[in-house]
Amino acid sequence: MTISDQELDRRLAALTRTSDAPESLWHRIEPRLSRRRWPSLVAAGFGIAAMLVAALVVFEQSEPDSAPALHIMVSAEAEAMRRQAPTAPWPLPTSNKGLNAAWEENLAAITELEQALKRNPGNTLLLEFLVRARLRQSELINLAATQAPAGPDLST
Amino acid sequence: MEATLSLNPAGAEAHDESELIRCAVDGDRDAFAILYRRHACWLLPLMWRMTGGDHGLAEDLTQEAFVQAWFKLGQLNDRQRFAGWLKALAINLVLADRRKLRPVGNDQALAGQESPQPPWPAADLDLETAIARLPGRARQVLVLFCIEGFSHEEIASAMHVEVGTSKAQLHRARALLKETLS
Repeated sequence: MTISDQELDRRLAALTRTSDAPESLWHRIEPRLSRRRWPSLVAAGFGIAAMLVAALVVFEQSEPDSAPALHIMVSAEAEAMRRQAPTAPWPLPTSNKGLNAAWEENLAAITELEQALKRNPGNTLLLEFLVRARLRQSELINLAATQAPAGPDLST
Repeated sequence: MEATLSLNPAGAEAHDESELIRCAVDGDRDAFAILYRRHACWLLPLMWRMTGGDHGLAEDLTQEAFVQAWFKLGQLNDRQRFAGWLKALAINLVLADRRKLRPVGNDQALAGQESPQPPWPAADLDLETAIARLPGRARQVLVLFCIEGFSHEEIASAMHVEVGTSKAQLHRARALLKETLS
């Protein structure tokens, strides 16, 4: 004999709906919950990194304001180097051979300084050295003009 | 600073559900443990019936549902609806899990298979066993419609089938149950 729909519905409605929540299952769940803290930690790490980058950008942007202080520091360093140099800063050569060697050496220094300034245009120390090298270049030209008719080969 | 809640069972009853959820969202695992104890008691039987009496699979899916709930808790807008939200999450998990689709209800297969026994004192063991041995889709529709109170539209949407299919599966399930229980 087949049971009726009503009897089936009655028995379905009477089924147990709850049971004890097993503690063993919670002990399997709990270790998996800690990982949600990782995104927070990673986010915090990125936040700190972003703050550092922002601070760096602000510092870079505020460089014009700090330029006088930097300039004073660079000038002091240049002055210290100048003091360490011999009293006669440019020992001028007296022979044509020595004049040519000095010219080549100074020219190589100018080239290197110009390349360095292209890479680091705001470096006032390099700029000062370049100015001094140009001055030496003019002194060498004057010396060559007064000492020897042939003079150094200034074609370069 | 994170709020923490006592795990005292008596105190657990007194905690407001929204407050527990707020604490859990802030990372309080003790608060989530209270939520587990409140809701696993009805979720595990649901998972057991949906999986055809596979206790291990039911526990796995219950575990997965709570873990996903933990990670998605921040997305729950109405904290008073936690139970319904958790149920929907768990049902989606069980419907998406292909393991539950193993052949069940085939007479030849059932001949060599032990009757699944619920891990709680069953009010009607014959009916529980008969439901567990129904074919997969028919069993799921019957559990969702007759025990959990979902509509055919909701079931059809969750199972990605037509409403008529849901009704047909329910009719089939009831016929098989009546035949088995007679």
